[in-house]
Amino acid sequence: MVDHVLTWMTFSPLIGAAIIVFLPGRFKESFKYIAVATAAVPLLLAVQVFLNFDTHLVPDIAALKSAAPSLDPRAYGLQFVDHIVWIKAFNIEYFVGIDGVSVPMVLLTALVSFIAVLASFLVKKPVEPLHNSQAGIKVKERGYYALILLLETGMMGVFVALDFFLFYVFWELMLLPMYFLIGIWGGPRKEYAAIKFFLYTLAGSLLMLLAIVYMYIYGTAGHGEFLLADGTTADHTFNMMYFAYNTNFEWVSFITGKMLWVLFFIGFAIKIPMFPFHTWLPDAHVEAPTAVSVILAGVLLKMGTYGILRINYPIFPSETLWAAGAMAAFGTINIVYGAFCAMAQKDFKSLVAYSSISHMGFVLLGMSSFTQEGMNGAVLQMFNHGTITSMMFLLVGVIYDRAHHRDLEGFGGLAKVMPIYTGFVGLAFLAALGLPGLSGFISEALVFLGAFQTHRVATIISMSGVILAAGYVLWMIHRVFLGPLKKEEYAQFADLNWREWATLVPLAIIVIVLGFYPMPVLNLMSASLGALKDLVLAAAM
Amino acid sequence: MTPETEIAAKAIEIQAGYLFLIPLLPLIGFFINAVFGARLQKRVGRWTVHTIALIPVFGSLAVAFFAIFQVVSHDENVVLVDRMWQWIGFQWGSHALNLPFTFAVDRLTAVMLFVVTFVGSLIHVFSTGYMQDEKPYWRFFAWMNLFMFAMLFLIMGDSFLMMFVGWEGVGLCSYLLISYYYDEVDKAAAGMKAFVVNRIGDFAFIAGMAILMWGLVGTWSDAGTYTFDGEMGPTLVFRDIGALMADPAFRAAFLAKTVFGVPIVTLSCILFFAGATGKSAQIPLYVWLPDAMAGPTPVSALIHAATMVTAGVYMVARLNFLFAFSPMAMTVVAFVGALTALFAATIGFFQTDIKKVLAYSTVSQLGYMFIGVGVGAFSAGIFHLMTHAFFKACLFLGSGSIIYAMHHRQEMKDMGGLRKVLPATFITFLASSIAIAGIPGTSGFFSKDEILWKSFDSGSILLPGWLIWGMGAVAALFTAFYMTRLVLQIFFGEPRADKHTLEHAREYKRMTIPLYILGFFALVGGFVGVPAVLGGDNRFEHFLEPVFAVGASHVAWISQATEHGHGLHSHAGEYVLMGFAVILGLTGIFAAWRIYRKYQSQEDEAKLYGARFHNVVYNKYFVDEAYWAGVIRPFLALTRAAARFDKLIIDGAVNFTAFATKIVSWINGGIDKVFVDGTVNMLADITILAGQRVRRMETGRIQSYVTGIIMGVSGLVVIFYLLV
Repeated sequence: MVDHVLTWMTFSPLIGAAIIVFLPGRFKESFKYIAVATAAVPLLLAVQVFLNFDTHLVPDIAALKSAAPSLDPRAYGLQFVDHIVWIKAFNIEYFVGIDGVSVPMVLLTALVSFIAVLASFLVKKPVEPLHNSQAGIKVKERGYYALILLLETGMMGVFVALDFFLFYVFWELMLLPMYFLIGIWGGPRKEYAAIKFFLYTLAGSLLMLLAIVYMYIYGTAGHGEFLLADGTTADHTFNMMYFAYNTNFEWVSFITGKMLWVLFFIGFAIKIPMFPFHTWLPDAHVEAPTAVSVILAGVLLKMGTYGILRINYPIFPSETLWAAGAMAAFGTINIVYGAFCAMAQKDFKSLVAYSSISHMGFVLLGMSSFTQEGMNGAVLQMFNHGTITSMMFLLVGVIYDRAHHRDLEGFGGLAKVMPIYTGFVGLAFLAALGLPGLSGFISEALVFLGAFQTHRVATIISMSGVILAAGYVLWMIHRVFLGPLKKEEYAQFADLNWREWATLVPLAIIVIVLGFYPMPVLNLMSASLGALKDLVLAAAM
Repeated sequence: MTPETEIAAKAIEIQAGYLFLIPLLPLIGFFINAVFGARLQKRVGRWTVHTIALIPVFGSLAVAFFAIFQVVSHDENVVLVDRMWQWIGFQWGSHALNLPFTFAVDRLTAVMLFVVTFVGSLIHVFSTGYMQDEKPYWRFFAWMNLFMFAMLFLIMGDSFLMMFVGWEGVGLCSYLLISYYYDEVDKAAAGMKAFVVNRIGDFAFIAGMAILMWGLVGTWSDAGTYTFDGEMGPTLVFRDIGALMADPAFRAAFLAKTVFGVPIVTLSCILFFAGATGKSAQIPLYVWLPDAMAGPTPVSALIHAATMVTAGVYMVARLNFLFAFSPMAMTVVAFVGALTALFAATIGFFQTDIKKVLAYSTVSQLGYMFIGVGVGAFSAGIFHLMTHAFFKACLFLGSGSIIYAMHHRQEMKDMGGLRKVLPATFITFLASSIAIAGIPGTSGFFSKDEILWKSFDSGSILLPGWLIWGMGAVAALFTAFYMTRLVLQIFFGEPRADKHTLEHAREYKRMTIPLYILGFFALVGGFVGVPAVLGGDNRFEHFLEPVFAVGASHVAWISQATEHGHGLHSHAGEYVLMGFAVILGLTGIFAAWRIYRKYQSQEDEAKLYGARFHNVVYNKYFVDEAYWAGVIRPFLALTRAAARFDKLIIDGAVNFTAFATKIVSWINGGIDKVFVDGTVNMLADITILAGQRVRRMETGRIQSYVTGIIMGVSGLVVIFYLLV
């Protein structure tokens, strides 16, 4: 049992990164081992969190609304809390903790980061000239592993931070390593993709910052005063929980509320990415190395939807209800439009990128339903999409390593040459198209069942996504794996190596097990999501 | 318009913890062959592969028979239940969703279990002969086992979602097995077509499920017609929904509920049936099934004739407690079934590939089953499902035996006179052919007759019963015609195959034994359902009665209420109909015999029937071409348009913004250099240094942006703090 487990989970990768940075160059060979060992720490701690998480703990909303701000984390439904004052002058606190919404994301981050570090291992000796390979890092290993660990700190921080300022710091902290990882280790158009990613996200986070500053200045306590972690009182606060439950909302008119809601929402929507803010994603994915794509799709996209659930929902419930229809509509557009675009892609990786856009639409649709089925489906979809898409990007990396291109028209008949690889591709992509018995189905079905109760037409349109997904997945399999071999030299391709096995098997197991027994993950979140749903719906009355 | 009575449909639940073995055993077989099969086949031999595949299938046959025995041995209506674990569920306040991972076997499932495990095992045995020359032998058996798993899951699943797992699982296996010869592009494409068309049906199925669940929960109901008990929560478990529908108070409220202006029950049932048209190859989604013949012939026998394609019929019968309450949906089912039966039978006339003839015949026979369940004769539909499984599996396996002997040639022009070369195949093929043609005494006669007279007698649908009956009767005539043509062309006349082929043609025991067994059942399998009019007691119908209690009693009630069907509800009427159907069947046989006594090649046929007519029918009325031009091509164009829109318009806007910002920042940078540069302190120097280093890496001036932002933000915070 480790105390301050969330703090350890967040900062242990940072320690590893520091070690890698300061080790002399002659330990070059050991950088990757240090990195993987460091990434294993949050993963092990995640097991502890998973086992000790109290799934029944939820805030008593009615009681909280009429109570003074308190320092008792359990009253707010929070667990594993670390709470100290960080910058006294501005009432900034170091406040981390998790509830049912964030715990699946924390587990996912630990898992996907570990897999991504492992996926960066170079198995074979590099061949001169150094090719810009997508999997297996050959150049500047020190910087790469340090940055990827730094990235993990940033991501983990976003999911555990409960103080607006801290949240923002982590949000930006995640941005920089990502920028360099794409910009330095990426493909031919890496500069363009990296800067597009960076500026896009930055634009969104600036809007968010504006809203945070506004709230800091004008937010006042409804009853009593804001309490800091050291027991002193304060007039202003960055504490998200106080904003959700204890703030006097007279300061915010409905118009301002909507403005703040939209500022946050756009910041998050860029990250999801929601149509029409999505075009950075295919570019970033196509250029990013495999492991970075895995993190990008597996974890980063979830920050958008997580942010909406963490900030927009509890703090602005009536505005959230006001925008529910629009969220559902955009979710539907994402699903259908993303699938349409995926169908027309010629590049393997951008096909997967567009399928991500489509699948994140299910999250938006589900969470805008305010039903138990829909919201559980949405968060489960976030988790499942994280594992399934990670697998898909790893698999694209496998073929890119061998063929040095990703042109869907350029393959054919690979099933004969690489049967095991084909099996994994089948599993991952069928999970993505929502095949029952695999994890993606459960979340999609829950989203449909829940969303129909609220948004009938949008849900029916979204359901056409199941046909479109079958279309682009099967057509891809048809072009790449079936039929005759396109080129003689492809017959020499080796099947999966140990690194590829090691990264794919854990994800495959999760995808299959959660298809038949999703309860471990559903249990984590359903109570918290129920409370969140009640909180939002209470604003309608 | 509903009877106000409670319907007694309660079944006694019996815990049967062994049921999970039935689907699990084939899954284990699949797993072993999928992982080790290739190596075993290479190192040890083919026998290991099929032993691994056959043992689980026969194992689940044994367990299934035990379960069937347990169901049959009770006089009361029992249902065996195996509760495994909570599959999906949550509870929040009074709202709980509870979907258990449960297998259940009631009388309907028992019949299906018998068909699937029995026919499935025989086809597995047959495959050891038919597939013996194939290189990826293990892959075939791995997927056959996976199919058995999915199919058993489908029929034993206790809720919509459980059924859907099997429903899609069989679709996947069908895809995998159709594409078995995947290095041939056409065959791989046929698999893809099957999956995508099935998915269109699945879309409807999911939509129906969502609508139905919404109707049962009513949390966000608009009219508030029925305040549902909060404790109930949503359910997707068949037996719970069936029990609810048996309750008159619930029924009245539920049937009054509408969505999009249509009663929920009608809309969801039509959507479920649309799902069935995909899986069971009915108009308009039947197009995948003829192409599916690209798979190995045992696959066609198992998946595309006996089991998977009947899943839609099973589903409608399973949901009798919903369908029966929507005359509209029942009419759609019966009419589409009748139309398909007729339409597909005509395409069967001129096909020259023997598997294609059988494929269209399957589509047509499935139409019959839908007539049965559509007019409310649920047990008749299931009866035909069972007899069809026998004779159609036998026909397909027989064609497999022929194709194997003919070195994988499937065209009838290469056959002829095979009755002496392949005697066992001939006998069994003939037996099945007279069964499907409905010659009195054979299994097909009893089941088809049951459907036809029930449809004539039906008063529960919105169309006159004689119309459906007429379409079915004409289809029966056509069936007799094309089957006779098939038998004559293959087995009679002069052999047209080359000498070498004929000399090497032989029948393996592994292949003939399943043929004999299936042929036997094709002849006598109908005696379980001899109708009262012929002196039988129709045990089959009585056996299934309790399962269809809710649906059938309502259908009977409507028939009575509308004063319908009394005219022919007598033995005399039934005799007349039966005699008429037999005469039609014999006419078809006679007509075909007149024409095909001597071999008619494709050219002869074109001359005989008129070239234009022959051309249209031979090319399946150009439906595939119409779909391609009218649906698929526009759709693909649309996807490309979407991608272009994304690149040019959406991304173009982003890039333009970036460009504009660049211009502004260039101007801004100029100002910065002239006015501000002089006053920067050491911190700024460091920033510039860092910026330069970054610039050398060609990554832009991000760091200076960030520094600026952080400084600006801190500045803002300080200013606000001081001001407020």
